[in-house]
Amino acid sequence: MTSHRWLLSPSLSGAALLAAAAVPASVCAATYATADEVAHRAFKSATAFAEVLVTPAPDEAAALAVPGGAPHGVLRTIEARQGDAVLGRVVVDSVVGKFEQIDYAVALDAAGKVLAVEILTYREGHGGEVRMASWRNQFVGKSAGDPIRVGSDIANISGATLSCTHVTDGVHRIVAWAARHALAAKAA
Amino acid sequence: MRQRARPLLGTLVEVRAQGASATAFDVAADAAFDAIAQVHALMSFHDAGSDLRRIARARAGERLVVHPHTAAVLRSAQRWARASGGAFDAGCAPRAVEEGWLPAPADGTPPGPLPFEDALELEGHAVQVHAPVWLDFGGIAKGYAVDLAVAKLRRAGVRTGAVNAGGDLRVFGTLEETVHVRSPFDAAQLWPVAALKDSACATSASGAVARRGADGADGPAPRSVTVLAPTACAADALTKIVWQQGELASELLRKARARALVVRADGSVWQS
Repeated sequence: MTSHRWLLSPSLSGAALLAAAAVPASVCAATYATADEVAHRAFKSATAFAEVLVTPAPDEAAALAVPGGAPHGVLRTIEARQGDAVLGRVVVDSVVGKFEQIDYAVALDAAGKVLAVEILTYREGHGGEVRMASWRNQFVGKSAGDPIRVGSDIANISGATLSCTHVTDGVHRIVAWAARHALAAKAA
Repeated sequence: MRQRARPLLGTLVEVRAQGASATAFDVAADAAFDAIAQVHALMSFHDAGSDLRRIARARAGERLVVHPHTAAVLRSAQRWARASGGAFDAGCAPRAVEEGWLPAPADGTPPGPLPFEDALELEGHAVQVHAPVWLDFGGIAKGYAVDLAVAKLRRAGVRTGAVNAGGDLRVFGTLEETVHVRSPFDAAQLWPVAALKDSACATSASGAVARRGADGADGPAPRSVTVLAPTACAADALTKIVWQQGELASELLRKARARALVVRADGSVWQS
């Protein structure tokens, strides 16, 4: 049975009251998957998975970096194997948007074709950009029955401003990197 | 609660389920993500192979067979356009191209002045083109995709869960969930505005929509419009109508069993 209701009474509603009940966006975080789970989903016929850490050469690290961002140090990949054949790999990356940090994984087959892109974790507010005022306000307007811990999930945000442009850009860079580093057909 | 997320529809699409095994959830979520990706491919204005671009290339008198999903969204868009006296306008792609939000299609037939709901006539999955139209389903396709994903989850045996596509969200089953809306005045603040059970919610906030809607608005322009409705498709379409019409949309909201929350630029709030 469909039901929905506002949490503020019509006679009291106003932007000031909404603001009084506000919680900081920085408490919004979600964990969706691990890179291992993404690898198992993408390569169902694999018999073994091996973590391979790749240190890109300086020029490659620069090509992998977000424009204006820091170059990648170590790239975490997971190779999927069936016997001694290499089926493909999962590459783990992380992008920072205006408000959010997104860790994601790209599954690529042995030819470098993208099989899936999955979000691993999402969190609002990163580093020094978390505004102090919003941290201070985090206990404003909450009742004891409605505890919100920092780091707990706020799953339903409507009108979120986040965009996956950064993830899409990151996937393009990883695909380009993978094309230059073809997987060996046989596991070492 | 199990959850997965993928980048789709230009945003982060999150699928959640309660009470499903890990394996059952994986299969169900894959079906939901596939359906959303299909809607995206069919109704993208950027992709020259999409149904929307095929319609944009069509000349007056042509008849096109489109995918059932495209036909369903067009039928729904036409219904909302007629019900709102044209406030819901899916024929707005030319304006979006002019403003630089959408790329100009090199292969498009220049659109005419006829409203899209009159220029295109649906017969089953066939579109009779009476006059060239450039459709933009930005105001409705995301909601449709969320409803479709919910249907896929249910068909796969998920009884309770939620789908959230960057703020167009629907919860189903026994869960009652609180919906937060990002403050239009401070993006670091979330407002807990509504409780949903077996219902949907969509928000349009200032940005592209504000620029479109500000012209001719009566009184202070809205900064954020949230609509609660039985389906995400209805909630999505109604945010655009309420943005244009404000309290004048009360009757339409009531008929659609929907409610709206409008936060205006001066900080005043209206809710139905």
